[in-house]
Amino acid sequence: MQRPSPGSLAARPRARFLAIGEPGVTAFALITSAALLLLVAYPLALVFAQAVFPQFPLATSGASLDAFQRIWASNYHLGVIVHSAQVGVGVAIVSVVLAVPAAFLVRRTDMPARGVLDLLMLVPFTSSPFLTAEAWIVLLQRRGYVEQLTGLEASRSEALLYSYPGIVLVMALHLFPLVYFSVAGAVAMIPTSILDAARTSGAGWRRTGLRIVLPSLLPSILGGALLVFAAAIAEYGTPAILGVQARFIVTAVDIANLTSQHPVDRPLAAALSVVLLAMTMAALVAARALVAATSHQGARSGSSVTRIPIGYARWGGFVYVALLAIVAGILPWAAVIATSMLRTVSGGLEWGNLDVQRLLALPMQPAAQQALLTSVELAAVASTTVAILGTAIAYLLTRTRVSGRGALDVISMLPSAAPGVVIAVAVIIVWNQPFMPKGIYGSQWVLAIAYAIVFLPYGVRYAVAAMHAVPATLDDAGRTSGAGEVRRFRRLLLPLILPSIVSAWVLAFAIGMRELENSLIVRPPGTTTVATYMWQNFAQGSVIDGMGMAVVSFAVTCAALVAIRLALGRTDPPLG
Amino acid sequence: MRMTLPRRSSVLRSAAVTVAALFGAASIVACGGSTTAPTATPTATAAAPKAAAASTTPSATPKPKPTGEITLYTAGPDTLAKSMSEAFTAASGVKVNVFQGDTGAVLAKLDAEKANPRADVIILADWSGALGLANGGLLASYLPEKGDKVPAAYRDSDSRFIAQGLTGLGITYNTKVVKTPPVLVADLAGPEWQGKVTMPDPAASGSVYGIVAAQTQKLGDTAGWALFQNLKKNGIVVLGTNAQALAPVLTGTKSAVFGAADYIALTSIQKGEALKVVYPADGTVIAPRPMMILKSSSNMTAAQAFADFVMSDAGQALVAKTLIIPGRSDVAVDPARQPLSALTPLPVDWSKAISAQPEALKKFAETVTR
Repeated sequence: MQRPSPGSLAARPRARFLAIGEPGVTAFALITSAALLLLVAYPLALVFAQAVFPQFPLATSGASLDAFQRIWASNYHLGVIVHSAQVGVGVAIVSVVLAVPAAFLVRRTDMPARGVLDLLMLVPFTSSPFLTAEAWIVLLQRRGYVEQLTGLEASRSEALLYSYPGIVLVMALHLFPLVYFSVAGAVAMIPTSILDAARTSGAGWRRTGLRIVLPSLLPSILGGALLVFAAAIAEYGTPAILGVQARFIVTAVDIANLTSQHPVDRPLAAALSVVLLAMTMAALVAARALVAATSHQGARSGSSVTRIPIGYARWGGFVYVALLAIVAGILPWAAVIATSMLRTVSGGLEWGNLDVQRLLALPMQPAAQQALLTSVELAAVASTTVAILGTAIAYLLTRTRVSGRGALDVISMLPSAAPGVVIAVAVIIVWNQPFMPKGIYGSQWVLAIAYAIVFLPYGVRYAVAAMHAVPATLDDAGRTSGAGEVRRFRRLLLPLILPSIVSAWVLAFAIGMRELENSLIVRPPGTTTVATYMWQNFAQGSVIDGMGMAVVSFAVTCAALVAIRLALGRTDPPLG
Repeated sequence: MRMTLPRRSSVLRSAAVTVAALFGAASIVACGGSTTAPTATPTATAAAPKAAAASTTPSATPKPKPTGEITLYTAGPDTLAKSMSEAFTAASGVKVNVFQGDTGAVLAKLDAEKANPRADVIILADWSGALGLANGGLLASYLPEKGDKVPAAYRDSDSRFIAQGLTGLGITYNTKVVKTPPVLVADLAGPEWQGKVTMPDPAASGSVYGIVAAQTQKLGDTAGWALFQNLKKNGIVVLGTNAQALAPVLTGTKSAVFGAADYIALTSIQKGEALKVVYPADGTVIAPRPMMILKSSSNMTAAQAFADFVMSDAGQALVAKTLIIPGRSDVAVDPARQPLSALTPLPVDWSKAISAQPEALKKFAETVTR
């Protein structure tokens, strides 16, 4: 962190709560906090309430920590929690190892084809975890596509898939974009002058990397790793599909079973969710301690940032990033696309078993079109809400001194650690209450609310990072020139952080188009999203039609994302 | 773009503030939550006398014409839900709002909505799920017209739920990889089936649990569990739902699935998949798919009219079309499948099964799944 210069915003003496001297900020803080409390804190509070009041929401008698005691007394539940921690840490580490070199190569060196590869880094994130796991099964299982196409016997790859390392690999290949996009921005802020100074002082590439590059990237690496950790311990899809055969159960699967298998035991499920939330807070504290223990230089405004030529090594870099893009993004989608074009699953990958007409006819069906329209509407509305609310929260966190704003930071982070089924049940309980506005729970817009809760952590983290990167001196210059709060935000801050906000919007939109767990439970009668349409097909044994819907939705998502990228230009600052 | 995180002490303070705020909010919300429960009872008391009147005197008073709309939560096939609701709307003018999902999703949604229920009619694939709801006092007592044509074993003695369809849980195998088809369940414990068999999870489906209950009720505890232990020794893999257990058999990765609902495989066979369904004499269980009306329904007349329609000739014909055996014994099955009379099912004493369920599921999880 920069040492605050005297007279800058950060060095001003702490203002009293609600009395910064600009009443507009107070009102703004209150409105933003109210929105966050209603949207996120209220449902999460209900999760806590369910853990402590077993009869909730019908009665509030018998407050007890019995649910927590049952967890503590059960080897099974404790073992499951340990598994979740193992998955979280493993996936976070592998994601960092995969993403950091890729981000540096693509955003900072003269590696060839970097524009295309940068776009491809989003692809792994466009499929729901469940679909990714299914794709890998279809590829690697005995009589799977790899065996059919190459003749290589699949028993070893199948054994790898249904194991802890397999689960970690599949999840890391799916989640590493979170670290990638977090680091990609920071990589573009390291002044070239420092790197040159290291070179001229005699430091080799390895030393420069370890002593200069990594420390300055550490906050962004840890921020991305934190998001990955939370997402990994909360994820249901991959562990549910691969973990059963691997005999490796995680807490998210345990919670889902307790919520949807008879007899439903919501207090225990809620208590386990509280454990996951506590694990995320512990990770937050650990990450912060790590950052505080290492000192690093911040970017100075005005320093030049250029691409680093790396000679022949850029071809090695190209091979690495291309391989990553292929294995993580293209291979699974190729399996899904291939399956969607088959006539029968048992017929396998044979030329005579192709039926492309079926796939092409799918978008023509009214039910499919309705599902697509619903998903696009919901994802767009939720992403926009999160972009606005996330920016507002980030502004409060980084640009004001309202006391208690740290709680906003933690509350907005927590939903990423809650499994989808937990958020779904909480959203239903909150919005199904008689005193809530009538038109929301019965309509598709309750899903937009659920999506917004799921996206908010990403929106806030990306906006906070972007605002931190803009030096406070810019604000002060605006203030001394006579600009008010709103004008400073609109003319100075917003144009600089807009690329990051758009990145967050794009990421949220991609998640929204394929969100499954909340949608399956929260959606009202008559509403179908692309993910639930896909799921309903799978559940009735129509694997081919399910995959077909996934392909159509993928095409729509990619088209939308490419259009946005082209319309707004590149999201990273242009480098010389 | 640099991600910075707040100082450790301020994080701890923020965390403490957050937790305190959440617990405070939880208490406030909990107090508010308890006042919503009473609003559910007025509709229940209003509906109960109507339901009682309808069930005790079905033909004495002419039924009021159904109006308005009803909400249906169903775990049944999506195609059936659509065709049934469209046909009912065409016949009566009543709009049907359909929520279709897995049994788990339906149960989770119903449970979450407990304080302010939304559903009128529920159709599950899980007999034990229906008994659970009935024992919780949530179901209305109503015998649909022609409901007496359903065998007594497949409807509740208090008319709280009735089977609108039945499926047979046999063995489905892939004809491309299997040279000698299995005849008995015990065959699946043989060497040629090593590591090649899957089974849906009884914890996820009360129908599949019926298999476990039937075997232990027929063979006694020791021999019954020995069968599952032998299957486990032979490498059987327990995979969540019907579809998840069937998927590897479709690709040929596994050779057979034991205990999956037959209509899914039969529909796949119609689409050209290389599967065959057999009903072993030592282990076929019939899984009734119950339909029920919630006591809290705010449109009891229309809900009962819908139940009548499902059990009518037209409704049961729609059920038969999806290759499910109609609940009424006087309605024919689709020619693409075997009728109920061709199967020799193991009987299941469901009330005994339900009371033994928690223990049995635990033992199954420890013995076979994990």
